[in-house]
Amino acid sequence: MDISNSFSSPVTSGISNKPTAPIKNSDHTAEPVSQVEQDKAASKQAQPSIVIDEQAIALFKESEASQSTQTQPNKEHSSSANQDQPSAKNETAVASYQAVGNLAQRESVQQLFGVDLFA
Amino acid sequence: MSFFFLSNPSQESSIFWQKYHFFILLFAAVVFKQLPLVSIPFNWLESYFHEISHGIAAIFTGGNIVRIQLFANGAGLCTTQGGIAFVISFSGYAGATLWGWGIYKLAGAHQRAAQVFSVLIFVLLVSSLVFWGRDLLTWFILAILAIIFLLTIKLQKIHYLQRLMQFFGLLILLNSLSSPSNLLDGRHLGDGAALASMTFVPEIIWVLIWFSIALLALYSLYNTPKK
Repeated sequence: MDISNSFSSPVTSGISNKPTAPIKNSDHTAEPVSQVEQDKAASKQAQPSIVIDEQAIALFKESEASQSTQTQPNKEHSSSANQDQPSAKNETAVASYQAVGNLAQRESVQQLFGVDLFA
Repeated sequence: MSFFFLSNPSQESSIFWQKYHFFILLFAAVVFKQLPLVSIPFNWLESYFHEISHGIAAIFTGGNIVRIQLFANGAGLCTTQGGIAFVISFSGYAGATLWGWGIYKLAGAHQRAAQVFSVLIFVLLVSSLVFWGRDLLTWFILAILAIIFLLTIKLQKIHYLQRLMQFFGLLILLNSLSSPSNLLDGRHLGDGAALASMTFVPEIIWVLIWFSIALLALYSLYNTPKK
């Protein structure tokens, strides 16, 4: 956002300053007017359409650098968590072991809730 | 012309009662059912006998009752565990008819029988309240029904108890005659729908069976020898 502001301000100032001088000579002939137009066109060609604000770029780089330093510790954490996680094979083994352990409990719960409703 | 030969008017009224007491009670029950407020507890009575019939069927087929719920509008729910689902489903309406028929029949058979039977119903209501009622509304409805039966037991003249029990029996029977028709609402809910899904016999057939049973019970009471 800062970059766009810095681009617009120098361009407008350049244009607004230019016409003040030729207006003074406006009662002579039509030639100076055409000269003004030529000058305008020349100044447009000479001036770059994008003005690079060094300060804004520096700010942008700074913020980017700070963002990257904030995300890096999380990456380290997640990678360490991945290392600790058991493999899929181990996970299925544990799940099947637990399922056998819960069979009796599940049956008793099913008996408890296996009810019929009659209206 | 027999009017001139009967000298005693009380004797005449007694003969009239003996001859038509079934129709008098039936008419009274039909009128009573139309009354807006006083008929409500008797709708609960039919609902209770419907639900307890489901429960008793569950017990007889090896299951047990988990919960009985009664609602103010006369609806009810019986939660059972185990047992034969077909028998339990069928016994709701059929059981209510049997209760109505039994109450009328036993009350008319003997004064002592009427007394014992009303005590038994009172005990059943109290046990239902203690063991199977789980919410405030059900407790309230069961308490009201228990009080009604307690009042009938306390009646001084057992003759009135007999008539009152017969009246209750007819009310239950009338309800079980009309309530199966409520199942034909196109929603595929209730006992008829459950039986239809179990047997592939359409719901309307089950409704007709229950209606026929109730009609037969009513006819059987009409044919009971007058006392």
